[in-house]
Amino acid sequence: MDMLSSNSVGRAAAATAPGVAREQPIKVEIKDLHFFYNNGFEALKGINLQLRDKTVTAFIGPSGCGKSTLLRVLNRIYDLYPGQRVTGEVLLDGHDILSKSEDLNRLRSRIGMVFQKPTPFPMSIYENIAFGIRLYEKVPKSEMDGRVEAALRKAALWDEVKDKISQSGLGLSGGQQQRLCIARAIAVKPSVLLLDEPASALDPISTAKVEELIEELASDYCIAIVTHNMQQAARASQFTAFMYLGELIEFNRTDNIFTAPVNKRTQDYVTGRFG
Amino acid sequence: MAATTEMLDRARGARAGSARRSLIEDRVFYFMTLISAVLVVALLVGVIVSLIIGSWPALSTFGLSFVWTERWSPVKEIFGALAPIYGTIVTSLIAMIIGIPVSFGIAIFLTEICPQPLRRPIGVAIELLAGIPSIIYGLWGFFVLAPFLQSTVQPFLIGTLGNLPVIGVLFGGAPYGIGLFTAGIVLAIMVLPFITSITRDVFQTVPVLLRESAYGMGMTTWEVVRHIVIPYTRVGLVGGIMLGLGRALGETMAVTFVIGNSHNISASLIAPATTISSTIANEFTEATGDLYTSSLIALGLILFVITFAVLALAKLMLGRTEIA
Amino acid sequence: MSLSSSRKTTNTVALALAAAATFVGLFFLAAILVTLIVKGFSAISPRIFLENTPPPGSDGGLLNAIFGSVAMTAIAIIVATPIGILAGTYLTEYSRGSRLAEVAKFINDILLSAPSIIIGLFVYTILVVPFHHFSAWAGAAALGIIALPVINRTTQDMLALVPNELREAAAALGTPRWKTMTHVIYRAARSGILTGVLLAIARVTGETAPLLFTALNNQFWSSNLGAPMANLPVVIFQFALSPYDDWQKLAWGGALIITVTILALNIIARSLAGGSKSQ
Repeated sequence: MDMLSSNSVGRAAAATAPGVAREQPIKVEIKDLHFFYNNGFEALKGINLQLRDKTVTAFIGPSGCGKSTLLRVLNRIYDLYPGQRVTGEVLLDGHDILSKSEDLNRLRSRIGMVFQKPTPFPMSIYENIAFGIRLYEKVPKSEMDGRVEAALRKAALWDEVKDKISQSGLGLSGGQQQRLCIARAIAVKPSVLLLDEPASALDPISTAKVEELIEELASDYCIAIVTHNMQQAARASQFTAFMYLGELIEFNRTDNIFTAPVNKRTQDYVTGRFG
Repeated sequence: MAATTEMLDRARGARAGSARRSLIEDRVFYFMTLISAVLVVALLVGVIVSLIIGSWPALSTFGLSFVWTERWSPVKEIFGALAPIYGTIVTSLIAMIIGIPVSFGIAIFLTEICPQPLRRPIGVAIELLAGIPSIIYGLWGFFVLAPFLQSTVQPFLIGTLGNLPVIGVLFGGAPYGIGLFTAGIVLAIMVLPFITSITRDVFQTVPVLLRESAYGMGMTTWEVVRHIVIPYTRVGLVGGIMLGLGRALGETMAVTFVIGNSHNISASLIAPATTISSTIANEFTEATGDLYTSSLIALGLILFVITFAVLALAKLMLGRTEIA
Repeated sequence: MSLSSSRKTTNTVALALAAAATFVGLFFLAAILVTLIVKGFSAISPRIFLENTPPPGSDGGLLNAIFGSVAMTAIAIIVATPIGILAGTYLTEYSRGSRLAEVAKFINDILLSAPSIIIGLFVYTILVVPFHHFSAWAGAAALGIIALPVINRTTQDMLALVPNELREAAAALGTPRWKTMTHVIYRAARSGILTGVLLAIARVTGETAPLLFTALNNQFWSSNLGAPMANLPVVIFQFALSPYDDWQKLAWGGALIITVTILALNIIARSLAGGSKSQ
């Protein structure tokens, strides 16, 4: 209900200052971000944008436009691959996470990520959740049970798995696996969630469940979601960024992007005229 | 709402300490893996260095002529490696001459002809040959194959091929049963599964489209194998052969049983002989005197150099995909 | 017309030869196994597992040799397994494209196929000569050096099969690298790595050449790792080439025990590997 009122205010604000609506504080600020693969290819060419807390921001654009790459910068998962590098700044609560001294594991516990394909760990459903929690906290067994249940409930999975919680996570259906991964991500209590096409490998019913879940989560987290699915972006997000060939073409309230895009290419893309 | 935020913030604050500890643990784990990998390299270096040091007395006494001296006399302390080198190469060549066509035949059968349900069981059965330890091949060669060859095949060879001009000398002498020929056959059986398995693997790298378009032209199965599959996989096939050869050259126990352990070089293929590895196996613990031991280690060094070269060549030809 | 029929004939002959080659291969497998079973079974009795190797002309078994083989194999595998897994981990996880890694992979593959008698010579020089006597330790070391490249290589292959998404997912959760490996990736590759260990056991169980001048042999029961120790392969070798009937018989019994063990290990390893693929 908070969202509803803020949306109407935001619409007015957005008309005067696109992308700088004021109802939620800025959580992540990206300044002049460039990204290079080790072959020298520049995948991001000077991105500037802000992600607001308790808000869903969708990233859309054709394949290879850099939207997934941008997400992979935000939790520095690209660091796994020597030779990939970035310039610019990414401020999380005003603190630059691209600095060399940044503790990556700690950073990643604050910025959760869910991938295109479900990635349950080869262990039980319970352990999948408890594993992440134990990385950062010493939790007695009784409290752990509660934490696991809470995470699974939050991911709308509890009712489906409560009777087989000690069975392997690999035995779940694709949609359940993906919600397990979301539960695993939120169990460590991050403040930002990155979702990289979280529903692209799922059937329509599972997709609907995951989308519902994202809507729920938006009240607690700063969420960035990459998607190929225009309807999904329109339904689930408050802000939308359209990217093309490594550049941010247009960034605005989702309503504006889909109803009154300023840029010609954005218009072509959202209306499906894009080649 | 506010309560949730507070809870989240508290959890986030408690993370600094454990994160620092895990950084140290990460370094420790990394160094453990690095040291293990370095150990593998160090082992090979250690093998080379210890062989060179161990063989130094022999090599400095006899010089390079060690390699082409036939005489091997522990009593007079004169040692030459020619007979073992000759035996090693000849037995391996016999093994290759028999083993390559049979291996290729099996691979062709399994990839082109064999009915689908039989492929796996026959394939597994052939691979089981690779699992049988070499000492079993030795036992079988000594107690079953050698007497059989002695009583049937060898008299026949001596009686027919032995009377021919020029090549007759290869089949001269008495049928001992044990010797170069028998060792070669045992080695051929032993390298079968290795060459077959790699041949199958490289045959499978031929693109289906290429195969189908060849059949589409009306080629027979044999013509597809002969003109499409074999040329396409040529490099891999040679690599597989080299790997089999590497095995044959270094094989010890099976050969030791059936070679006859004679340091004389005879023109006849059915005569008793010796190989590098079987000389070491037979004589090492009985070697008295430093020069004798050192000469045996020098034989080991020669074997190592030969097999290293063959195996390295095999690896270069096979790339990283094949293994046995 | 005649061209086409000669092509057909060539095809038929070539394919018949290929089938004949397969028959030859299977024939030898059968011949070896049948010999082994016929000669081995007549030697197998409870006594073979209960008594030590006898002097010629009297009754006995292979107990001390079986114990020695198991003991040395166990030590070899216990030491080689962690080293092999860690080395394989470095080569697949930590070394993308580095020179050292390329060299180490190459060297490992060479060690994998290197003549085992050379390993025996190496261990003789470093563990027998300095201490002036043969020992079970030296035998175990030689077997370990033979097992190491097998485990290393399987680990490399199996870790390469673990999807990269799993590494990223663990990292995205803030999991330290070492914990990602030990708790997630090894677990995902578990059955494959276990297959490698089983194959390594199968490989060293039959090794004879490297034991000839490291562990040597021992006619009597010995559990002293610092002294020569009996072991099945060397006992088989000595007994088979002896002129005594009862020794030869024991050799066949030992051969059957070793072969059955190895084939069983191979079959278990194979079914494990098959199971992990279908998952």
